[in-house]
Amino acid sequence: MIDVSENPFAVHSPDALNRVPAETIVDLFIKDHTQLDNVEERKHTFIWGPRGSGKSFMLRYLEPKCRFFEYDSPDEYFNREQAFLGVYTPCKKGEIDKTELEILDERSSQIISEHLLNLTVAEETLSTLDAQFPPNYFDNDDLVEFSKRIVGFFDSGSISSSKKFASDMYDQNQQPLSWLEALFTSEKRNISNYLKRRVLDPDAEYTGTTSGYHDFMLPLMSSVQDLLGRQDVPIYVFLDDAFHLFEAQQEVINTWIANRDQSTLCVKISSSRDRYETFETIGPGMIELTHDYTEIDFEELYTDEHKNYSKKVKDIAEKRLELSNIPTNDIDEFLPEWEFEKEELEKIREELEREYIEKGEPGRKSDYISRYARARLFQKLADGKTEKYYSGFGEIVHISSGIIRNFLEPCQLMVNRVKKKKGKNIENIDYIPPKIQNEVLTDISERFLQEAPEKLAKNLSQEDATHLDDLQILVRSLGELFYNRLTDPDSREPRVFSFTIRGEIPDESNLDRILKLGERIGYFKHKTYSTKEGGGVSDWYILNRRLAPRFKLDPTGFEGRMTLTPQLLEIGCQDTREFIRRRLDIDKNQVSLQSFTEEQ
Amino acid sequence: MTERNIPIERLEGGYNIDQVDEDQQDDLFLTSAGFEQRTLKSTQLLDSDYNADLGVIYVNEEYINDVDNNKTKDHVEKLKNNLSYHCDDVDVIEGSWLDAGKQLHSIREGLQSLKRKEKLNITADVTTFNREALLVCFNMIYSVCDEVTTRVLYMSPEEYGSWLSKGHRYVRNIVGFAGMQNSRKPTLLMILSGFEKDRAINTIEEIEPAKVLLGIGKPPNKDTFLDKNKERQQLVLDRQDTDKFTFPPGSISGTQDQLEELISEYHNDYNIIVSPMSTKISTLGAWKAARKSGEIQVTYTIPVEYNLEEYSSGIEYMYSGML
Repeated sequence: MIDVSENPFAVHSPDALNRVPAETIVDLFIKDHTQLDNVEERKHTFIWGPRGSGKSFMLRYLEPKCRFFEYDSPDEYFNREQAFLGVYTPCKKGEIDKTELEILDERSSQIISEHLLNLTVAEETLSTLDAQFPPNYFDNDDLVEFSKRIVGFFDSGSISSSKKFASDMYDQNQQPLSWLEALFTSEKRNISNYLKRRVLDPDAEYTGTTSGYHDFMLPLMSSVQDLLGRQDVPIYVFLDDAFHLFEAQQEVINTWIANRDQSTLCVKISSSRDRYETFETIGPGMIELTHDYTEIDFEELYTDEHKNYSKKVKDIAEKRLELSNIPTNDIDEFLPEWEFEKEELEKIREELEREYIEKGEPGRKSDYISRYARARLFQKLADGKTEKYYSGFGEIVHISSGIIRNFLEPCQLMVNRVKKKKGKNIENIDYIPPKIQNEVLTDISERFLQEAPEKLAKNLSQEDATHLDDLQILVRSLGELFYNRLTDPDSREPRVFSFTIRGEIPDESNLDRILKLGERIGYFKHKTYSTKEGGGVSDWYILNRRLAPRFKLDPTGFEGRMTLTPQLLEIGCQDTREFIRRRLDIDKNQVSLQSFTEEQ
Repeated sequence: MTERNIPIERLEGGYNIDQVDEDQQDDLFLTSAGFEQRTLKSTQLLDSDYNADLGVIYVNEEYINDVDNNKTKDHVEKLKNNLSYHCDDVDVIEGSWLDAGKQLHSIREGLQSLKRKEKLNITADVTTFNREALLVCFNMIYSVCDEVTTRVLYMSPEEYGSWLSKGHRYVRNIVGFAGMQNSRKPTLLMILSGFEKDRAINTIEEIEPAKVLLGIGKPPNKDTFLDKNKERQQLVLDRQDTDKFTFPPGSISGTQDQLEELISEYHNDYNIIVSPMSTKISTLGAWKAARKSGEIQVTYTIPVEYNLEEYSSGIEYMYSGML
């Protein structure tokens, strides 16, 4: 059960949200900056985002029980524009992606997978109708009619044993939804039993019924619309964590999307982008963005609209503080910056204001100050051998790199540490000391560097595994190089946090694999940008801000991009000191060349 | 025969392994070739009068084809040689710990000849089997014959290396144990935790259940859960209701009884997944409980790599017990 009273930043697994009351979800959900409007549109949609970015929570918020709570009643809700009936269908690990299905021949696997997916969605639909509507919302005769209609989609002979099983448990005329649910359960059991037999005997045949999109899924959803008495209300199937499905199963989903029947059935798929393996459909064809589906990306929220992301995190955090026993609801007050650094920064700003005037007011004053102020702070701290304390709400938001869980979990740990170290109860914790904030953030950053590769999930080839060590050396090389830049008082772009590549990296070369692996693990975010010289786009890799405390970097922004050659990157994968020496030599040469040009 | 641990001193002092039924030669001697020295021990202890119709050596292709490590290849040859004195036929099953399909097909084919038997007496050294292959083997054996008597042997190491395996590639259900899930029920993950703590945490993170029951071996078999990375582990455990329970890692029947009790307590409210990560002995206890229930899922977490050089050393005792 979700409980934020003892630790307002506690994170819960999506499955644990199942039994959370609608009012709690509505209370905790922050609508702003979630692109909720796009998700609610009658278009098939992919919702991309890493785990912990809030996808499941949003889908739970869109379930009928929360809609009805917010709009006071089902009818009020269904009368609004763009109303829909959401059916949350988690693709839980091991429930649909059974190993047995993956090792069947492709055609059999696809047919049985589709049937299993259909049954799972059907079960969730019944569960939604039964548990999320007010009691007696539906007329029993209508439910009986509905149940008979659904059974009619199957070949009667093929499901006779399941009908018997259901009738042994329930009277179809008295408990039509329970009866139908029992029938689906029995069908799932038939699949399960077949898979067990098939493991032992390769000649075992599946003799049960099967179901497809046009003969079952679509008419099922149309029947639900009839039951609601609202042909204008489509059914939205929320397939959460679809990355758990294997490729052949994702092809089934893609085929649903390709049918474009959004007025009856609209599919919303949440997944981490790198683990959704295919856009192909069953048979020839692929689904295409815009044409067949839209997409939203939770991670883009950070890189494209940092202010919005920060505002969203603030709203979430303050809502949680409000529901907890912590005495303050102000997150800036609860997560204060280190006063010493704050004062130093203020002094540096004043110095920079004077310097700006002395240098003849180059460009805008605010740009000049923001470019150098934080860098000077890092330089000053490094000079005085004073430890940088990563602290303050703003800094933690930057380090969370667009994933809400990366903000909540460090805060959860901070609260736990204060409770333990200071022996305080939650109602006596009015702020987290910056020292503790810094300890937690630095520990997590180090762990991210060490453990992220070990947590790599599916399909890590043996060859990829052999590149892990090289990748970690490269990340260390880059971290140390950026630190050198940041603490160099002569650097023109001290807060550089990303690099581009000058030169070709052959596909499938070791370096290509290492960079791709780094992107999969989350050490880098890969983007492209148009080169200043024109004539093309260049690869652009941004270091994950979660690594900032580990390398003593400034997580609050970046300017410019460091250009690296493939040859230098290869050195960076082997020898950090040599990599830095060579890159700093290039910088020095550039400076001499620049002064030479300026003198001419 | 009850379960017992025979200390190394006794093993070294002339102890011999005899047939399951002294008047009748075993139908099968089953073992696995691993990269550790202890993989050979049971075949070295076979009594001169010990005989079996068939000797089967299971080996993973990833180890036997590892050009940097010849130990497994060498162990296969030694096992073949040792068994050739006691078995009418000796077969090598080359499976895979990465590829579940290859693992299943090779085991199914390798054990096919047992189909002809009405009754089976088996001696199985489970020491260096990977857990998944071990359970698939027993599934296969117990499906081809109704009357099976299996004596399980396990060589417990004197010491483990500083690490056993790293990371996780993926979590998958063991073939034959997909379980039966009801969409209305949340997921309950029962973990028999062992030496590889992060493997347990990775499994929880991948499955994201509504509830975790974390099994701690008692008495502990040289391992303590949560002694490293405590905060990270606690964070993951805090994401759902988490309770702890104890189980006897050195006992098949004890582990089975404990799991059955928990399954009966929770199966009405949850879809249950069992993830055995402790000893091979307790893994067999989980296998028995899962077989009896028929509806729970058993999963296996595939690591990125094993510590081939220093997984374990020495032998402290040999476990012997009936399955």
